[in-house]
Amino acid sequence: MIRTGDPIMKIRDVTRTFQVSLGMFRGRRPLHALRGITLDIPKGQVMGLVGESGCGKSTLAQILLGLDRPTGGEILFEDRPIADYGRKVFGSRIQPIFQDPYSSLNPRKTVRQLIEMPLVVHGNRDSADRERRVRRMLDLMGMPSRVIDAYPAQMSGGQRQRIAIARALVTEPDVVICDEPTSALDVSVQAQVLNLLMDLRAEFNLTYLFISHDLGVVEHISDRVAVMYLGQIVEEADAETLFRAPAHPYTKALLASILVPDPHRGPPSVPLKAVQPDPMNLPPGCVFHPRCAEAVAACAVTVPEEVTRHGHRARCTMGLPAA
Amino acid sequence: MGSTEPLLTVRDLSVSITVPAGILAAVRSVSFTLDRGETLGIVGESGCGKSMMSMAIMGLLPPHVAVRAETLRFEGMDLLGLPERRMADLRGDRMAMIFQEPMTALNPLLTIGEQLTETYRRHRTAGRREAREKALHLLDRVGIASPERRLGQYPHQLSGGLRQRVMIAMALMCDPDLIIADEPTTALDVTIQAQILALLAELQRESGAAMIFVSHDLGVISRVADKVSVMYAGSEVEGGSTAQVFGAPAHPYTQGLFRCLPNSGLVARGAPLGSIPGVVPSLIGQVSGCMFRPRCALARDACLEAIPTAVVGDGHRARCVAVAAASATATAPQLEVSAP
Repeated sequence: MIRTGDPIMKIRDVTRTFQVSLGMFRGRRPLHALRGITLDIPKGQVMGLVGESGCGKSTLAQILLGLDRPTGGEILFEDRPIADYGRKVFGSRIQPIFQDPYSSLNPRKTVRQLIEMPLVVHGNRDSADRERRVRRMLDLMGMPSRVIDAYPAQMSGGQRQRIAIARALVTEPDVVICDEPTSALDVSVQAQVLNLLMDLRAEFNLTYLFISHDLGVVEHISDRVAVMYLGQIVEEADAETLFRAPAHPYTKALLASILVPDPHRGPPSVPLKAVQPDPMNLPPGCVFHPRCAEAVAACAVTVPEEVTRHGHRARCTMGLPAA
Repeated sequence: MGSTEPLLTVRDLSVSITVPAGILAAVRSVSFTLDRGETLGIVGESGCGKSMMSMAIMGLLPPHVAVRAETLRFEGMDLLGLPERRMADLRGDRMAMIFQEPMTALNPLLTIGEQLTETYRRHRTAGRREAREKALHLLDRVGIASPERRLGQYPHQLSGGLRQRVMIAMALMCDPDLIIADEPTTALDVTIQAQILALLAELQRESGAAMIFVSHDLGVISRVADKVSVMYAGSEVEGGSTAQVFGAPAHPYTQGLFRCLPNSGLVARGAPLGSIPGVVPSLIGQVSGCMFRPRCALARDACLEAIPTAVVGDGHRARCVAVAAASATATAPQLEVSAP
């Protein structure tokens, strides 16, 4: 049994390489989507994962959900490789919540059918028991039980996302992979859904991997945060440390981009050079150096080692700031 | 045109759409003025009418959508009275629009160069060479490296951030007096968003154009706008200078929005966020009184009747019975700093 705070999932040097076709007769080239991801996800906590589009965060989510296989490396769930678990067993213990509740819910199924589907898949043949569980889920989501026969089209975005959350939690999973769960929602609805996710986490001691591009949301909800850039984790720390004393220049640029409402300041100047990162054609040395505001000559040559201190790690030639 | 007349005057603008269930009043009696060099931020959630309003000003709504206004004047011209041919002359020339999704707003079959020069050559009797020069200059100005190469490329060959820069360059081709930017950075990564916002602000400062900036993001609006209009269910519920509205939001809806933000400084990390209960009402059919009433903690019987506009500061206004009552006793309600 894993205790709260100890890693429930251990991601060990996971790589994922896609062979991208360059067009007819032009052959294929490798795209290194994940380049050695190592990350512990502590039980009962929220691990935030941030990074720009194309950095590999969704590829990692797919692999953790068993929807894709890593090219290399290994993933341990409760200290056993996930391959040791049957697909179904593993599937019931780790569940997804996706970004867009308009496309992730089958429009031709009722709320009952949508929420009970995972139970059916996992072999629950007792329809009365399934009904009870579905109703309990609706109750937990703060939705009236009369919506049980409704279709997604009859619901607002926030209600749909509650259905998606109910569907994820009905198998009583340990880990929930939340991939941009509130990005498609309005601010007022986002607040409702975030509050609900936090309440559920506390009530069931759930573990979340919370993927988002919204750093304000990640700061609010996460215990720890990992920052990805071009297929690697470039920095990881507890949320407090990462937002207060970021080490990696990329993290600093991300934090500078957060637009806290402030009528007395204009758009921020972000310490980041406007170079397009190309995962098919990685630069030598530190892959971030062409965009880095703090880069020195060595950065173009030397691949930086990861430096760790007191649970704060960063992959930068400059190392960690003095404690 | 009198020198005191604003660049754009909008008075009692309404947009309504006939749908099978009745008439949907998407925008109801919105009024504002805009001067050269000024930026008006329009903020609100999905369905509040903010995009409909900008499309109405640009004359881009289809014929079955009814646009009415007491006044809709731009550079001394009555926009509602202009024939479509004259509107087409204005669009892309004197007034230009930047859309949210550059992938759908750019033509996938034309090169960047063709799309940029098309606008210019349509509005100016300019030759290819002159249009190309202008396009190169603007691509460089919006921070696109090796613009010559980009001119020959198609939209799909560019990243989202580059496409948005192309959209901005396209909007600026004819040095417009009014730029309407509808969620121009919503689809972009945060670092790119910050860069694009800084670029827009700089270009606007240089050209002296007026801008209407539409966004759902309070953080973005606070950084770009001189004045703000908060919309809810088709109406403005609060308006004023950015400093006024963000410094002391008066309307219960605006206050509620701020409490929903995870990083406004109002809610501690990990603590429950404030939220606005309920959902946006249907805009179909006759509506009366305050549309926010069913979701408002301060709702009272008077909210069912005509809603007064309370003046809470110089140019700072809120359409709310409770605010009007409170300002009558000279104590405007303050934004509570704790979550409810």
